[in-house]
Amino acid sequence: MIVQPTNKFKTTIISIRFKEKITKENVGLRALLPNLMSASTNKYKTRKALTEALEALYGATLNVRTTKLGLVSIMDFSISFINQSFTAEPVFEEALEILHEVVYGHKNLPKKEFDLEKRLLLEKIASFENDKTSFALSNMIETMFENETYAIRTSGKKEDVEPITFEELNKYYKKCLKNNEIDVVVSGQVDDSLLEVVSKYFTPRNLKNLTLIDYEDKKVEALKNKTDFDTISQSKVNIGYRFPVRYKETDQIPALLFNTALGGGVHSKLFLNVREKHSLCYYIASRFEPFKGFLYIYAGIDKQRVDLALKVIDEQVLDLQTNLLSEDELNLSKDAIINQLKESQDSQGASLSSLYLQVLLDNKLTLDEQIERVSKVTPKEVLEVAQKLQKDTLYILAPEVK
Amino acid sequence: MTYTFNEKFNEHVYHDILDNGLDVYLIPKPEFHKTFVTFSTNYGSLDQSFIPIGKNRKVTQPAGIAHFLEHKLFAMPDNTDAFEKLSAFGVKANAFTSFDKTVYLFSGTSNIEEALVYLLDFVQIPYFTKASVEKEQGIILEELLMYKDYPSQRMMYGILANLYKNHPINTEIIGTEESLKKITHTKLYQAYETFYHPSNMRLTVVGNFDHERFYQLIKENQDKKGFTRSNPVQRFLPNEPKKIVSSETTIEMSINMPQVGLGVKLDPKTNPAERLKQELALSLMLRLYFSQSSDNYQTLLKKNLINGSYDSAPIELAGMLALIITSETSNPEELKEVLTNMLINVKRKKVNEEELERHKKATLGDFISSLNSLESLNLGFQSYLSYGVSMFDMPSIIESITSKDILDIAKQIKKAQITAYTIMPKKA
Repeated sequence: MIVQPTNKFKTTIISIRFKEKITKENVGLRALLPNLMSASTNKYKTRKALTEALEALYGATLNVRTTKLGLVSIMDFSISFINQSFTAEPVFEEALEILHEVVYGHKNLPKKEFDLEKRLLLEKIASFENDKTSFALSNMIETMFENETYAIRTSGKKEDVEPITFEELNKYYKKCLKNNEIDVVVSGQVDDSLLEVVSKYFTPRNLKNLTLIDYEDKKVEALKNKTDFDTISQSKVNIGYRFPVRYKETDQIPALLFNTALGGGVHSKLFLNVREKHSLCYYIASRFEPFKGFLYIYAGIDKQRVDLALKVIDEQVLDLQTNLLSEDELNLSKDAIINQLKESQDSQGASLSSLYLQVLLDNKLTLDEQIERVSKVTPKEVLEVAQKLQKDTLYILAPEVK
Repeated sequence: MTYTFNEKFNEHVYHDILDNGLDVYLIPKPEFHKTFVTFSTNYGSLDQSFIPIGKNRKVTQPAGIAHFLEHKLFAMPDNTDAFEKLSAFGVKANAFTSFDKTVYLFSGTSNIEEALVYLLDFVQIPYFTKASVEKEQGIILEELLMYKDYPSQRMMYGILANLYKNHPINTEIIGTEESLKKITHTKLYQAYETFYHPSNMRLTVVGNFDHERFYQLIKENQDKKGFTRSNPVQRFLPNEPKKIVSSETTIEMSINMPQVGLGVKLDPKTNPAERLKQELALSLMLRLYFSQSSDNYQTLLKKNLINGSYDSAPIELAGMLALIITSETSNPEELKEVLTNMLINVKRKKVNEEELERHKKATLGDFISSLNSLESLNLGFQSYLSYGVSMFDMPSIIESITSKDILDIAKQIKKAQITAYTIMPKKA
């Protein structure tokens, strides 16, 4: 069991996580399964009954979702509820009981809800394309990582979900109960006696044979360049870079600092030059994905000025690859990261995610140790790691030409 | 400073109104790492008509000026950018403009005192020039275009424009392409001097800080700036007819599935405490009849008329009260018809007291959960103050809502008050 005892928050979170290696074959099943499991159970025969039970627990929230960490797909079933000190009657075991029903309370999955849940998921997948910013980003990822595991979209794609039958999903549910690794995660005002109650309902299953970090890599032969058109008013520019630096490698923290200096906030090169100096865009940022060794820049740019923006972006990248940052400049990025590390401790969700990631990577560090790692990075280390960056893909979602 | 301790929520609150009128709230939370500071003015996109400070004639300014002013306030006379300077303290700075507030804020874990003083200083040093205003118009126009690509934004503002003829809620917070062009540096100064007077502002600090020390810093900083207390700003909202503007609009966008939104124009109360109760009653009504546990919702789902994007919400501000229900749908015509009938029929239902109690519990739980984050504690605290109530009175205010309050709102829902806004996928 992974436990974060804390008195800081007014809520308790209990989360059950089913893990398995992500594959093209299981992605659709794992996207749909949690939804059907939380539609109704043996005890709560309708979705209305289940929702009412949550409302009666002072609006407890049941969250089911499928995410990924590196190569591992995680079906996360979690319930969050206010601490018993605020309630007139006990809520802790009641919440556990609801969560247990959702996970285990099915002799078979509810067949009568299958078509509805499938429709809801397919519509959610389709509507994803309405958010042009994330749509453009995921198109870039698919272009860049064609035929690599990383391109698999955890939320599932239409072709992954459409062919699924009830029988297939029901069989897969039983298989997951039997084979998946299971983490039990608890955060809040808990003591030994409450944790014992948790153990009555849930048992972790840890086989430790899942690989998280994705080492699949490809050489950049030539820049992949793709433009799609859509009825939008602003060009969504996404640039993907191979950046072969991964979790637990020595230059992971310098790489994190490089990313922060490049596009991680308002002190960054991209923000200051592309947005502030040239007023070319409303948003621009970069992200670093240390599970894969991948970095990307995304921006919304005035359609007339895309070429200029691309030029300024290249200049900024090149600048970080050729010139040493001053200590002062680097300190801005260090402060931003340290601030972020501390701030994440003030959010129950964020601190729990960071604890969970550390447990999974088998790399538990105190806050002070994490800060120490960031503080001691030198400008030279940042410059060295910057040279590993290679532009791989330029993807633009552009306004239609009329 | 006055001190209050709320035992149930375990929160300590220090409060004072400084000589220049600045309202100061300090809420120490030593178990947290960060401190979240907001410096807010009681001035948002709705405040377009007002009597400028020291004048006696009403003026009406272009839509979007509050948001424009927020952007421009970061430009300093020495050509530096206040955003960069605040960030250089290692804090996360931001600002936003809503319908009724403009908020400058930062959160951080170190150099908080320096950042606080800088926040007070930069917000209190306006610097607008003709050239810089023109440059900013380009940036804000990009922002406006970006929002135009978001169906949810188009939907919300489309519904509000269909419901309200004169009330400025019918226009985007950011303004319109035309109104942006009318903004000048002179108008910015006029708005600034009126609404950024300390008597119209509040400083709220929540988190890990020494309240005595902060109080001294704030007081010293403000005392030396020579503001004298000023009367409340007189502001005006145009008369709004009961009737809605348009009962139906359809537009096309690049989306995959049609979206439908229904809006209902309701009668707003004027007394702030009553406005808050009315909003709560409306949100309980929506929980009873249009939330996931309602029969209506279950029916819409089973008829394949809605999906996971379905949402219902109240909107409440000075001079307006409305409810909005939106969803993607494969059958817009049927959804509009069925949902309209469901809305009209609410008044015929007798409120089930047991269900009401359950929804009150859920409302209370949501309220308590919201206190988890320093951000929502800080911003929530202020928004309840704007209704003249303390946040810690919320549990009893929620408890006080009766089935009659709910029926009073339900009775106002008539077909003539409902607008439907549809976004259809653009044909390729």
